[in-house]
Amino acid sequence: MEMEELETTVERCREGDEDAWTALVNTTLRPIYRLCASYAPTAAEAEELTQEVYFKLWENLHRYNTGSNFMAWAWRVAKNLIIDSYRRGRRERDAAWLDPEILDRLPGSDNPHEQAERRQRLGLIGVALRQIDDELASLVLMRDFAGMSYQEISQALDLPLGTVKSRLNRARMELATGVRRRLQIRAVPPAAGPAEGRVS
Amino acid sequence: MSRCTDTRDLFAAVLENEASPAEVDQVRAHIDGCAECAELYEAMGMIIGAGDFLAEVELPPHLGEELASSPCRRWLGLLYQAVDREISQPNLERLLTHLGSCPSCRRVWHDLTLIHQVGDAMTPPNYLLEKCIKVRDTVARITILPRRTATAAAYILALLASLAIGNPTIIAQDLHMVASEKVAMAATGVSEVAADGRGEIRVALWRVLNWGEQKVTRVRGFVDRLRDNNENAGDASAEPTAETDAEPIQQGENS
Repeated sequence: MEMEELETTVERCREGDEDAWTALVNTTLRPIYRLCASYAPTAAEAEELTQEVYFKLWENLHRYNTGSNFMAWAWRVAKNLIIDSYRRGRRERDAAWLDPEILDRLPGSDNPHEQAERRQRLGLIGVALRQIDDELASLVLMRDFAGMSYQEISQALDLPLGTVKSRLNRARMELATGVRRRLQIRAVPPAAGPAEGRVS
Repeated sequence: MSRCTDTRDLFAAVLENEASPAEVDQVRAHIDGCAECAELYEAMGMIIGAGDFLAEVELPPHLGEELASSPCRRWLGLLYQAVDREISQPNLERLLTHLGSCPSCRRVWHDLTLIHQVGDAMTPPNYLLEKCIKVRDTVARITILPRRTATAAAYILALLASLAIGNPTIIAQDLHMVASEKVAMAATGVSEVAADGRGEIRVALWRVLNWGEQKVTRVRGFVDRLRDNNENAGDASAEPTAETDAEPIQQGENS
């Protein structure tokens, strides 16, 4: 659905058109679910979070400024919910994409060796993501996991487009460096002395 | 004597032993007669010589390895374009050729595309669509409750307001202005609840009920006192002599 069409659908929703709500959920579910799954620790919690986001969107539809980007607004609503959810649970940032249920949906996941290697790589990516700055990690999650466009990210974060691009490149670079460091640490053979306390 | 600017251009070459013998002679002849250039020549010599000791410093062992394994920075721009699927065909071909020969760039490419693959694989399960559409019904069910409650609260408020403002104690104590303000405050709370929904309902209702309770207690006290006075007055009018006469006697007896 094009942006203009989406705006019209939102407007119809606000006027009480029930079919418009169904169309709106249908169009936006995938990116919103992907966003929630990027932050939620399990697939089940990602689903719960997605429902909560829609609950909040419906409740606050009258507050949305028509003409501003709906997806960017939806992302802000989702982000607040996600932050609240972490505050409530006092959990560390984790990701549903490490959930086997999600990994099993990856293409070519029948090969156990490939599956194990991917899981290991994703584990490393997960650790590296936790170690970089929250804002930079968010950019990777928004762009690479949730598939948001640069324009949507720019509007959601209220940042110029150029800044989004340069920060995202920095984020990817830091992520790649983090993964490489973790790989090097793993590649170090165990020392002759006591191995306790070694980071693995 | 040669000009200062021409000679200064030769300083670096002389100091790095790259000047011809004629140029060396020219520089030496000039600085012998020019104090300013001699000072400059000496300073430049110190700066160039300062780097000599670095030649003896050994590189940290991990640095070479890290530099070798780090992705080639000049390719990163194209690599990110490819990840974003915004790369042109000729650039994609160049990048693929590079990826074929550079393991570190290949690793970055694999990691970033893996993230994309996972993102793409995160499709919502089919039943989630239905559930998300139905949240509308849940919201509708919940918003009816606060409206009803808010209406009930508004009725209670109106009753309490009439009791509070209209009762003789308030009027007698000249407190009706304060009471009016409180009613207005509580009414604002109720209207906020009606507008904003469930979250604030408990707080606002608690405020209304708490305030109402205080008023009812005060009115009840007033009514009790009024009843006592009436009873006392009634007793006094019914048996004026016995009551008034008996009391001092009793008091006298008690005391």
